[in-house]
Amino acid sequence: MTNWPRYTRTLLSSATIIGVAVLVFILVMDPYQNVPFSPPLDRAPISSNQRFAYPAIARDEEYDSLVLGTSTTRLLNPAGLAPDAARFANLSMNSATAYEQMRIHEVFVRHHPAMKYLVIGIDGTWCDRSVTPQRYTFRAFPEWMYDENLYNDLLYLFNDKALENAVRMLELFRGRREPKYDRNGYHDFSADFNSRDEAGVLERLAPLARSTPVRAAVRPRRARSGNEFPSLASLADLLARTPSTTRIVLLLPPLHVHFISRKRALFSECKGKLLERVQGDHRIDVLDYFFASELTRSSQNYWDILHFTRAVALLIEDDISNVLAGRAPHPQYARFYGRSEAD
Amino acid sequence: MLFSSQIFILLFLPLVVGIFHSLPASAALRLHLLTFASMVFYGWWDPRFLPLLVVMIGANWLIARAYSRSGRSALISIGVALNLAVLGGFKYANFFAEAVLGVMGVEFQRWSIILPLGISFFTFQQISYLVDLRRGEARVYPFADYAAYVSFFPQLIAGPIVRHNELIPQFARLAARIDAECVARGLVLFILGLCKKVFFADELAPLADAGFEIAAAGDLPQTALAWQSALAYSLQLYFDFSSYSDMAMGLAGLFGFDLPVNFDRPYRATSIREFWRRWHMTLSRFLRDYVYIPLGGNRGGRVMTAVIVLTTMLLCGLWHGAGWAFILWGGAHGLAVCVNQLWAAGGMKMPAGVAWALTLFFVIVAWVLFRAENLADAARVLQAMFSNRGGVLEPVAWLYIVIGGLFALLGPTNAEFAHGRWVAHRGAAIALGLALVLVVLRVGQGRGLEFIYFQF
Repeated sequence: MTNWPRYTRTLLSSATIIGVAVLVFILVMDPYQNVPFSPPLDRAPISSNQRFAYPAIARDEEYDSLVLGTSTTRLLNPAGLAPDAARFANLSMNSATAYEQMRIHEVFVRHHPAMKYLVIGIDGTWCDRSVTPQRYTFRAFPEWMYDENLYNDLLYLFNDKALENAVRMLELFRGRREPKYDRNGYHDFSADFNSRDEAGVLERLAPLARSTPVRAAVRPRRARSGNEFPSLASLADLLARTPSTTRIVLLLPPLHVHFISRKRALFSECKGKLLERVQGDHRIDVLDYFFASELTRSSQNYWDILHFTRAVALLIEDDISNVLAGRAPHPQYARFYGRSEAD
Repeated sequence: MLFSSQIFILLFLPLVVGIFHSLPASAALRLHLLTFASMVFYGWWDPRFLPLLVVMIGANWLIARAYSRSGRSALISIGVALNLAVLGGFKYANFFAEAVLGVMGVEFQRWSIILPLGISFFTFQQISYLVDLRRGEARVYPFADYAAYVSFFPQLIAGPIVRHNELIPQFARLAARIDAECVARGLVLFILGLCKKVFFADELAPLADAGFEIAAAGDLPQTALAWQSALAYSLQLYFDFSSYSDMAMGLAGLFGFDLPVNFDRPYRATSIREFWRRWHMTLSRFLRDYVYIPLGGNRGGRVMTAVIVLTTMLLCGLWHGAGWAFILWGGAHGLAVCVNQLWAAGGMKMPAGVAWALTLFFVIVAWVLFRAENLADAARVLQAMFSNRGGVLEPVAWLYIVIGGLFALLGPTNAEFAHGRWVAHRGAAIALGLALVLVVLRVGQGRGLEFIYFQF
């Protein structure tokens, strides 16, 4: 004969004990580094979803400068960007929408009112013609991590993903796992490949080679009237919310020439609009690699049409550092619209 | 709020059940608590619809009372018409306006009408009550009982379609101590239902969606993908809807009530008539008692019976959704039931295995109509299923389908599990406690899917 009240108590108390144990474990491991009262341990970004891993870096006072963008700027190593003692974090997120970039920028600005440098990768994300550009990708985006209140984050931490990341954090503490990203958000994803697969790269580039032959270098054109780029208005908002003392570089990354030739008209207009918008803003330099050049023509420089190699990243880092120091970039690869020239 | 959400499992339910069992054994007090909790539950979705629910409950009860005092059956007709008008206004206005104006060659801009959750269920319940009243099979209940019956949150949104005489008489139990076994088994059934929803139905959803999304984009999926989608959807729909019914029954158990069983391993059916005796049983019962039999049932000869069956099943399709694909789905099932009846009447037989395979094949193919957004999408998926467009079988997808299929066909239902002897052991209680934590962790990501039947 079953004692049913005791049975119910056993069921509920076992669920409570297991549940509380799991919750305590998650809070102690603090996988997203957003638990206000977690014990001070040597944590690092552990979540594979950058949208969960980066808010903690954006709050970290260790950094005073920021790289924003998508995967096209992920290979820029923060260590090579600053011309001085500035400390960059690279919070470029794969396929980040304009909205997502604005959100991470908001967090960074909130915690770094004296931000020194800001580098923004201007790729297709900002040249989207959609009247209402999409806010999110298929990846989860935790809005609750991007507000000022860390305590409301606690409501969202009791789930299996947080548990999985808490276990990863434990493995990190025990030396059995590497951080997913460096503490400044950087990760050289090209290092994940053992060697550059030349045949694979050419295969990925081949279908695009049939596109329109590349003509002369792309010249920025003014957008036709009525042809707005809503995301550029968002970019203007983002720039307006950036501290007035911050030096800003808008970087048009060197995508492969096959991509450039396909999107030439769109990007030409977008660039024109961009230059119009930043005209007169003495904080901003525009560094443009988005045209046919020796750099963008060489398949050796690419993994696929959107992603250049680490060697190219080094060159860009050098240029950014030079521009921030008031020097000119490599003239054969980059167009430079400096603060005075953009006027 | 969803049953499969942390806000429901960790806050709403413990609070309501805790207060309920802390109250003295007073039927009135407990009933008021349940009605209040049900209103909160319903208003949580969208408070704008709460007045509709309250007004519908009040209006139906007033009509019932007026009828009992005057005996004028016109009042019942008005009541039924009122319910149908509300249901029609919210659910079918766009569909009929578009159809009529389409015939006249007029382009129609759809009205912006949001369908109140559960409207198909609670209007059907109230229609059945009014009709039973006229038949002399019901009495006028106190308003508190009636309101608690219609709004009872475990069954409010997606059934089972509970009859007044199944639930209201049970309210008398509230005046006594609630049976501890009923509470414990209810808890078990709720947890099992949750697991079925979260670990089966929601996991099958992307496998089902894949082919239909390609069709919705105007393309033809590959044959393997089309079959994957059709099979995965057949299982998803069953697990999704039956899990809701399991949870509803389990939740009712926490308050000491029994709700009617809604599913009995429908994919084991060896005929289409048997399928409808096993699938959404409370709807089948409703259609039989309030549509099929009043229209004449099988009293008018074979042709007339076939017409009535077809009409009933077309209405069944229309009840599920205001769209031609649903109507076609209902019509297809109606025809299948007619054929089934003729076959049986002719004394013909076929081996049980063949009958089962044929029935299941028909049901799965018909679900394509049910799932697709419109007839064109359905046609594309069906075309892909019955052509040679190749494709690769995704091992993980098919593993899920095979495991889900075996579970649906061979496994006991959750209700059988929950009422079995094995569940009474202490080890089972601890295992179920662990299962509850796992499912709460899973739903904590906030990416859970709504129940499919919410749209109806």
